[in-house]
Amino acid sequence: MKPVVMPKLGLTMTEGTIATWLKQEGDTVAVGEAIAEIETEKITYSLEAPVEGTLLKIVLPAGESAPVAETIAWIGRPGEEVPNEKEGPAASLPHPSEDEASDVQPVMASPAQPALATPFAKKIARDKGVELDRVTGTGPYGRIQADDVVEFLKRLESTSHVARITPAAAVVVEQHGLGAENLRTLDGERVRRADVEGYVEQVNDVRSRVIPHSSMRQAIAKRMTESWTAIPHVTLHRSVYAEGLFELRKKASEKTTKKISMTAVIACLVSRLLPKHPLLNAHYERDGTRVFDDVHLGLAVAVSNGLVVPVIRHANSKSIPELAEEIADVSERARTGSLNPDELEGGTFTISNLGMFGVDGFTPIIVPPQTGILGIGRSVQSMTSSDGTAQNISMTLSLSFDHRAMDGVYGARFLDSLARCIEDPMQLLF
Amino acid sequence: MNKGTLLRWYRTMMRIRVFEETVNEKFLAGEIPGFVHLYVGQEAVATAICDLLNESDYITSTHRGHGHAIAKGADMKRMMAELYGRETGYCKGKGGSMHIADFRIGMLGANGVVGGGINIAVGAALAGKLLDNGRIAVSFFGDGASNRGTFHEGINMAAIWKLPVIFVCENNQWSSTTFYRNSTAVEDIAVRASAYGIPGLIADGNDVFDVYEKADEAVKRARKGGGPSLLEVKTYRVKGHFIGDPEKYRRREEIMEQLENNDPIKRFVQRVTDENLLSSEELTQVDQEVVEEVKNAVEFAQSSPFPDSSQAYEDLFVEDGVQ
Amino acid sequence: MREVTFAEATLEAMREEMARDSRVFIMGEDIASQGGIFGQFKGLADQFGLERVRDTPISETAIVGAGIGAALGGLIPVIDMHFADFLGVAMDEVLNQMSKIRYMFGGQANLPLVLRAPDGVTRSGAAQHSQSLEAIFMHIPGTKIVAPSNAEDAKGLLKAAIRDPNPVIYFEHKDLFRRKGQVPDGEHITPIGKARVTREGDSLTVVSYSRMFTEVEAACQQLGDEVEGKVELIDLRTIVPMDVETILASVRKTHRLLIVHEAVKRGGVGAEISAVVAEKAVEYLDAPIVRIGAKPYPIPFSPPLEREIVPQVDEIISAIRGLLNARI
Repeated sequence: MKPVVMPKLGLTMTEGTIATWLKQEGDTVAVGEAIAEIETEKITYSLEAPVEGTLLKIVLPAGESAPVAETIAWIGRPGEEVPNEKEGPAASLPHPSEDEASDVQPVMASPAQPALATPFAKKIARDKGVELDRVTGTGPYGRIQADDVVEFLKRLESTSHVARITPAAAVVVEQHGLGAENLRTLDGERVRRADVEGYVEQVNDVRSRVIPHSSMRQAIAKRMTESWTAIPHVTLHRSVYAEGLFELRKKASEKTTKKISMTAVIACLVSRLLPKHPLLNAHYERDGTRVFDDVHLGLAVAVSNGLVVPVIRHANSKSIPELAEEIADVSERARTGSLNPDELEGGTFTISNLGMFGVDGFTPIIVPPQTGILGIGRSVQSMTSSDGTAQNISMTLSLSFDHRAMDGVYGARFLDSLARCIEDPMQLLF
Repeated sequence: MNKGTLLRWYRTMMRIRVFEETVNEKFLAGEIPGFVHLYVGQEAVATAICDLLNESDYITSTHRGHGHAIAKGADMKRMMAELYGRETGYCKGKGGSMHIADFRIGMLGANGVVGGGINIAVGAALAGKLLDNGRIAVSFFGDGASNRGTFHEGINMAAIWKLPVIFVCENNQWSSTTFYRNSTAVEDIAVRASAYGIPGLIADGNDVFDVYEKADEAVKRARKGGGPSLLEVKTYRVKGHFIGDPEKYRRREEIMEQLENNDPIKRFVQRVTDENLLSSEELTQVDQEVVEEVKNAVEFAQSSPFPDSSQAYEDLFVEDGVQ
Repeated sequence: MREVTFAEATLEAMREEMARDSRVFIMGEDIASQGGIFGQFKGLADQFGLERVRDTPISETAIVGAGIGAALGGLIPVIDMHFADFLGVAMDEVLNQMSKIRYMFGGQANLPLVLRAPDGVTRSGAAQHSQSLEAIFMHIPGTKIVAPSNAEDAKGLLKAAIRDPNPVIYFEHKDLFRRKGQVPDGEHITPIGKARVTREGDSLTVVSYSRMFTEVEAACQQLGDEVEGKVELIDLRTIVPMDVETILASVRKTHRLLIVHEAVKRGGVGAEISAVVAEKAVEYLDAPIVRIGAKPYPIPFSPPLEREIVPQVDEIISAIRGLLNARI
């Protein structure tokens, strides 16, 4: 008898929900056969049976959630007795009987930690090129054992090479050295020879050329990769009513002859608000998070061959017109390539506005060593009242933050404060 | 005593003295690592006792062991090389001053643990007895060691088994920085022999003639199967406990008095000259030869290579070959 | 093959080696007149005389020290420590003399010497007569250490120890003395430094030695089919020099390791084995390494207390099950 556990489907997943059970208690299941649909905040996933046997017991009913690695069902031989309680990771150890020495208790990490695997499981995975995130662990605390990797490989083989591909198609796949990943791009229940041949033809037919990386491209690539691989990003999206912004822009425009950009208005609000959320106006350093009294606001500016992020110093003590002027100035000089290098250094938070390109929302990448970045989407007219008469302008804000420096609630509170300020700038006074 | 014996004693005492003074000089010059305990002033003890032993007899020694090794016939070149930490030293540079041994001449090792050699001598004597090869053993140790349990256990065991071993307590009056009367309840350590039912003898350790006479008695007893003896030789440690000892614990006058009136070599020269046993030319010739010999030993040591780092992994076990 | 007790097997070894080589002699407390507390020297004095089978005063320091001197003087001493616990009395002789002499003097001397040290728990010996101390001596370079688990190796290892030109501590578990086992006829030597694989398996390596090895065997017997073909059992036999290759080869095959000894788990031989496996084969491990050893307390007198502190078969069984079923 083996437990079926809530799989870990990605680095950040901590729990999942059963959308539906595809098999009922008492059903016979084969290895690799889908037995349930699992939903996370991101995806829906078909959970495959890790072993063959009878689905003895469904522990977690459809619609309910459970943490990663918790037992959600049992598969075994008919008649085998299933443990009574809903067993969590710790309890999936058999209850120690009187004679079991306390000394032999395993000492392992707590359940919420990512991808636990034994060294040997890791070795096999490395040797066979398996990503451990895709393997479900059956050991204590959901730890991936060597057997789990071996089972996974077997399943992979049986599904991709036996169930879903015809023998003739497999030969073509073999001849052209196509990987399993390529096959997944094909549609259809079973991959047939013609499908593979069509794919091969299509691949061979594509005309292509290489655009060499410019030095700016290389720098951006390096910086983005560093940021994306080193920083555990979490992005929060929030729709806000944006009338307040237009109102502010209007008032500010009355004070100056210069054009006031929406970016300047948002930059001003963000800069005034950030000191109240110091972990977002900060640098993440090895020994701690360095928080700043003043806000030095980075602005992502698209230039012809890439992207630069000039920094507006002391943005929190500048008025909207001042900011508008300064933003216009650095943007212009960014485009003409006449920024001083020190104008690109020392940012404490960054704003990236893609609203003018019709983007609704996106996941901006943090500029290290900063801890947060705000993405601004386009403003749209939206229906709000139930009778469909009243109209509002709404906009999506996307905040990416460094999960090492803070947690989701912290980011959410900032976004919430920002939303309230946008809706009613007077909030800033309280 | 015939002339040959007297010259031999003089040569041995001078070899020890010049060796030790040279070591002192070279240590202070920074050529010799570690820490070194000098035998200066006690030369008569090792000289007289080892003169009574055959090459195959055993001795065990102490942390102050250069004199015992030289008197037992060790090669000063290899000794000096060992002090210098060189490959050509007795222990290939693994022992140093406190661990000089030459097993081919029965020198079973200086010992860094006070009283550590006593039972080893007992065992060597047991081997001599069981193998019936006529070998006897002498254990040199100090007044400090006479307060260790090994002293009690070893002498008792040798006494009940009547082993051919002589326990030579060199009472140089100082165990490290402590005057022996502050650590030892009796004036004469030799009286402790009565507790084991063996003879306890006392000799003037700075008089080579007296040490020879008393040790001769003990050696004869051992060779005849009469069992062990405890021989206390009263001497004085004129140097510090180790080279560099600030010697805050005793008065300089006390040392000067010893150097002036009780130096074993001075006393020997005085006697052989007074009694016209040796001429000053004979003594001077020995002096010159010894100085030359020690000079050669230093040159040998200085010109010898340090051991290769791979030698750190050798000599732990006899790797092959079965007894 | 003949069936003899562990004590008789050691006695055979003594008789054969003393007859073979006149340099071999034995000394210790109460061995000539009494024949040893466990009868392991019975009749030796009659056969070889009181010169070669010597009763000593209660002077462990002198016994070991004189053993060293005797070895340097050309004999091959076998020294009975009475109880392994009393090695502490002669610690300087073991630590600073016996273990150092060959190396410190640059390999000038051979030191063929055997310290026989009856160790372990038996019949409520309490705190000062029950210890297993091999780890303390394992930490001192310059001394070999063996610990047989059965009559055959008791004989073979004692003979090997006597013939070895280096100092050897021979730990003989007091509770094993009366146990019977098969011993080969004729000359039999167990090489020092070679572990023995007594049961082959593909899923779990269990390393043990001395009496605890017999407890592991008992555990496997009780588990029967559950461990058949799965548990690979290694009797270490020699602690120093350790047969690391045999352990590593097995772990690379089974991917799981359990080490069982009667000595205190903390800082024990098991810790050393764990470290070696972690250093040299960590990527082959499919479960945490598990050690079973005594809890870090003196051995108490009262039987239920003694059982609490010293590892029992049940503990071994649950560890084996836990490791085999990926529950640890």
